[in-house]
Amino acid sequence: MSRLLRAGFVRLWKSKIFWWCLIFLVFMEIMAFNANVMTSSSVTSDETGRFEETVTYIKYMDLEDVVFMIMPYFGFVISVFVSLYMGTEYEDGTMRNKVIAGHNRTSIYLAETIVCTVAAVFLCIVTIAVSALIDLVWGSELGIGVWILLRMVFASVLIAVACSGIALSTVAWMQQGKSALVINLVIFFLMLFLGMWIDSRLGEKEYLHSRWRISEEGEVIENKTPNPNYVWNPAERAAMEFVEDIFPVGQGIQLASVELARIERWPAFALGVTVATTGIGVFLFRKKDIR
Amino acid sequence: MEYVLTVNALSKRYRRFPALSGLNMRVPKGAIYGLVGKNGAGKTTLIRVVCGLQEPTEGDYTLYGVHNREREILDTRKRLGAVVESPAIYLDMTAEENLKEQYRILGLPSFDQIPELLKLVGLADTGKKKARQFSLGMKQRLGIAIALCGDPDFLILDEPANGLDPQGIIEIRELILKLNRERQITVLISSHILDELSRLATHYGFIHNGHMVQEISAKELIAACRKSVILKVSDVEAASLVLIDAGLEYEIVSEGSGTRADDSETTVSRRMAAAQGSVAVYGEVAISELVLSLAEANCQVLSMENRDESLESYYINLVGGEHNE
Repeated sequence: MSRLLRAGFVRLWKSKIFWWCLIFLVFMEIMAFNANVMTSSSVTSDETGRFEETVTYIKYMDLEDVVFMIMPYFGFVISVFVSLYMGTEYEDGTMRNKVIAGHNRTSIYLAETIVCTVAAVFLCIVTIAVSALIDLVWGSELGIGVWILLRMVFASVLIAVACSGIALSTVAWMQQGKSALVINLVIFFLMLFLGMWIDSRLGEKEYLHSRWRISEEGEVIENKTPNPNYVWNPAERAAMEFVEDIFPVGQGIQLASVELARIERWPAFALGVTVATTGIGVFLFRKKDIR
Repeated sequence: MEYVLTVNALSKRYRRFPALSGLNMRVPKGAIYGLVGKNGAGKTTLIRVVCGLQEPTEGDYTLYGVHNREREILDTRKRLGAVVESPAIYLDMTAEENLKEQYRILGLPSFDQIPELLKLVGLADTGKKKARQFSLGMKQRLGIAIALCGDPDFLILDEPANGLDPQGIIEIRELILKLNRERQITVLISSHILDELSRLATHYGFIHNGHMVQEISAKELIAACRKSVILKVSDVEAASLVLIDAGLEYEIVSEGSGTRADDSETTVSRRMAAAQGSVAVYGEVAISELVLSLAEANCQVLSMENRDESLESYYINLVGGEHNE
């Protein structure tokens, strides 16, 4: 497998789609940063009566709020990257060269998994690092502890790895880059919309508003109106939390809004998804006829 | 005879469609084996199965004596190079980068042989040109170069002349002949361009509807296609003596009438039926003199036909009949 890994990493380094994805992610981070700095301007006049406009950039979000803002959409980039990068192997027929060269299919699939995983981790870490650097240069501050930040970075990396695992298994199933890309994007948007819906349901307040009144005895009585959208059933709530956490995009949505209540279990969930999708991918790749 | 590839009752089914049905084949070592068949006959499926890209539904094959279900088949495949359908190349890489990538996949320690390989396939001057910008012929040659990485003993080429211009076809043919003669590489080449194949192949396999209809050496095929006169005669033995006396090259095609004499027939007529047969007489034949000589030897000419077949007509006769449809 070392031979396949060596060949895979050389190809990754030369892959245009890989570098384009990195550029796109950095651009997205810059846009996220730009969208979250507030500009203020003041107009003053000098002795000669000329007016001068002074523009001041004021940051109003903490570093962690900006850096992880694109995490829900990270899966989109990984889906595009894996579908096109791996799809080429099937479409151009170069996958055949590996089989004919005497490599067994499990090794081929695992080598491709490792290469795509490393690529996804690289994309994730570089994007976070560039974003953090830009934020720090412009004076953003960390609103959380370093240890929590590191856990968020770790969770981001595992989200990238899980997204890569899902996308790879689809490519192994479809054996065509463009078809796999369509399927992967459908999966991504399903996960995104489901995650957003669950996140909004779980974020509902228990009560819509409270009214206070003073009883005849002089006691303050609170009158609460229960929120019908709040998930009252504990089992239903637990199930929704599970679904939001099991999908890497759901974890990304929570990371973006720095909702870290369940961050402890995310790594296990992300690794579980990665192992499961890799297992499915190996199974499909071993069984499928290669064109 | 030593065989590089032996295929035994191989079947491959795509859902309900049988692409190969109990196919048998043997590719002798050192041969250029031409796999002949029309589109959809099963040529590419057979090649995919042999290359390990697809699993057979039934049957098996051996590559250099190693059975396809043995673990060693993976190592044996390293002796194999193949271009299946389209050339398998990275379009965003140069010819040299493509070969280096294949060298890495094969685990070859040095790239020293790459310039020689590029020269061999006529791509030494492509420089930094990406494979995407190559002509179809250049891509095909690069595909062959990739297949040749690691010095394989057995080269499988699926329709290598497809889409090539006449010059490209000649170049590929010369390359295959060179590889076979100079490097003793056994070549399995599938094609439906019979004229092109007839300039290369030392052995043929005619495949039709997933069956191997016939395997024949080029020598046997030439003999079968050679210009001749087929005489159906009443006495094959007598005809043989006459032909020997006349100094003519001949071959007994069939002996006996092939018809079963029933009980009502006399012993004499049964004897006559047994003596009947067909003789192929090669070369320029003076028909009237030959018929007279045969008549003198009490041998009657019952029918006569000229045979002058090409590979194409041989193939059509072989697979075009109702029997094989």
